[in-house]
Amino acid sequence: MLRVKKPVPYLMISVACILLLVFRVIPLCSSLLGSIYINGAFTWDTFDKLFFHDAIFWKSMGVTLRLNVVLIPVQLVVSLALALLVNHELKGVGAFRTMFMTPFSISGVVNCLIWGMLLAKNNGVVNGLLNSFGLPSQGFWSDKNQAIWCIVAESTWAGTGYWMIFFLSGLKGIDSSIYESAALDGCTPFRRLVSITLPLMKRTVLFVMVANTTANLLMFTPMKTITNGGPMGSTNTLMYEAYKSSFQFNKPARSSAIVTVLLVMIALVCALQFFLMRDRDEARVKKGGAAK
Amino acid sequence: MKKALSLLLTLCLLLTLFPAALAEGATPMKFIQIAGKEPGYDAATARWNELHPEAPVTVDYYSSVYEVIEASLGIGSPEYDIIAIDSPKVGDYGLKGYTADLDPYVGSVIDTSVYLDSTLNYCYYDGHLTALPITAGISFLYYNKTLIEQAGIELREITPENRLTFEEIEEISLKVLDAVDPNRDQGYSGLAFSQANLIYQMLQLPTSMGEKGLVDDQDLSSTLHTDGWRNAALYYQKLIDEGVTDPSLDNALNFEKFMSGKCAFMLGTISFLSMVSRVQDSEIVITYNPVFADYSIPAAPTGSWCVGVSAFSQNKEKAAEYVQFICGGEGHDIYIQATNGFSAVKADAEAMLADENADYAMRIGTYEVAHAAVSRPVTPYYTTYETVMNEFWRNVASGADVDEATEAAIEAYAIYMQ
Repeated sequence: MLRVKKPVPYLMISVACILLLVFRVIPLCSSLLGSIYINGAFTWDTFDKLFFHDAIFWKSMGVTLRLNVVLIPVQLVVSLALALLVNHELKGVGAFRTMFMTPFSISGVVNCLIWGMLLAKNNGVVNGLLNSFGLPSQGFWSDKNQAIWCIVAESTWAGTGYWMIFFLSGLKGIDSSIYESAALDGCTPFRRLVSITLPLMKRTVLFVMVANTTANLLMFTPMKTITNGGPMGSTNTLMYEAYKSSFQFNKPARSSAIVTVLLVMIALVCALQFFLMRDRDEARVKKGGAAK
Repeated sequence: MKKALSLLLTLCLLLTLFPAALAEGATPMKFIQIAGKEPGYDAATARWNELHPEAPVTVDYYSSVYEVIEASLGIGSPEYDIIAIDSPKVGDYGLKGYTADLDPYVGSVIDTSVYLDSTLNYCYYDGHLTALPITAGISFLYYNKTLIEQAGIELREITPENRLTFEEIEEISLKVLDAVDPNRDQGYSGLAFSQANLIYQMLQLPTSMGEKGLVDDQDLSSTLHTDGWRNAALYYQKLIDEGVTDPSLDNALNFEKFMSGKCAFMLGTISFLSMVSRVQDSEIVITYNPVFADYSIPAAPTGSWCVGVSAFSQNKEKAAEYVQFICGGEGHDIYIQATNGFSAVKADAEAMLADENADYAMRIGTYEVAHAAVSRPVTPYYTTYETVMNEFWRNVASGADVDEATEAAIEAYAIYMQ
């Protein structure tokens, strides 16, 4: 019989593990199974229809990729920039940190309702401002070419404060003596950022990239609250399409299949990020070579 | 003293147990209903609970009731015994196996002879009774007399034979807006569709041009590739482009805007009647549904809210008895009085039409139910139809090319019907 010398730590983490199992792992497995086990038999029909006879799925895939190819880098760069800005011990910097963090403390639905009103085509605040300067009103949420970028703007405003906290934490972990040495050697601020700050924050950057990618690929609130996937399907991401499949069209198998595709996409993107961000020296040493 | 106090406390404890003992053996039931109908259902259900303490009912209200029903009944949950069913969804829920067959209870706890035939027709799936109608729904044209007079316009007399036209509404709305909001920055509107961008109400536009809501429930092309549907969508876009209609407001906001005096006309359902003064010479006037000038077809979409029994209920007979109570019994009278709705019961409708002293709005509504009502599509695929068509109207409202929006809707319907 397996004897556990120190059972208390395992008991402590068991609650979190059970919650993960019940609310993440089991639903995930159920969803995977739901896409291939239908009416008592295993079948690939759902995926066959999805990949080869479902134009809406491919349009949603395009929307999801277009949105995230822009949104993820923008959020990373902006949140890193904000973290670098507030990483100075100046009087009043705390107020700025609070201001940057505040959007994240507001409920996602409320955020979306506010942005919905700001960028409304009729009687929207932004269009009112544009009109007061003699500029024409914009469609924003009502324009199929603009709606997706409105989501980028809303998500960036809402989320960068959160990611900024992680970057700030990573920055605080860098020994200031390294910067002092670099300054003595005549290092420029840009060089300092590229050669010292970013390499030393690699793990933090990797964590934020993976978490940010997952969150954005699964984004749902703006589509449900503001655009309903429109106009003309221009904001109909895979996550929203999966929701519609299940709750509006009562096609749970199709919904499970879409969610499975999303899961594979997230796994591939995260694997790629891990590969690109791997510590090459560590890998070389592990293989038996010497570090450069 | 201490002994007396102990005895008193013991007696109090025993008394608190007494109601529990009375309720022993009670089989509670749960009713899922759409939000916004609390006054009627709460009052009627309270009366049921007085009469039937052995089977008390609690009502859960959700604004997203359709999605909650899909989530709950989709997995066969017995949580809800009684479910609200919008008439177009009777076939849909029947096809999915959500509703219980009520035929075994007809003649015992259910009496179908009390209902209007036009409303009972919605309640069958595959030849079996699966719901009972609680109301007869119709829309009205509401208008703000004061706002229109402010623009110097005196509306002509509107009769069933000489209805206001949609074109007149557009013209009057523009004059009102020019008078009260010339810079279009005060938030006024001309015409509000109370359920903007929802097929439930927008259907009135193409059906008023003589088109059907759904020709072939397997394929939307024969429905949408018609002049009426195209022209209806173009008319709606024109209203939005002119600033006459604001498509971004939902049901509640449109009503509030109209009631705040910032909108000249509203096409709204009867659910607003109880909140609007019914006096003829008040600021808000209710009148007959408009028509298009070239067609003169009054075509107000109609349907009834129905109530059914969940196929997964553990207490179907009692649930059926509740359904009869609230749709055609004492509970129905309480509901209608609380909501000022149109009864689906024959006797009530006949009495209304025969009563010369009855409220003018109720008389208009009863007339419209009889002469201007066009039923919404009755199809088991109504959920798919509704979702696709709602997206069509949203695309039209956002300014998309009407032909592109039409093709997108046809393609989407074909994919979701696979």
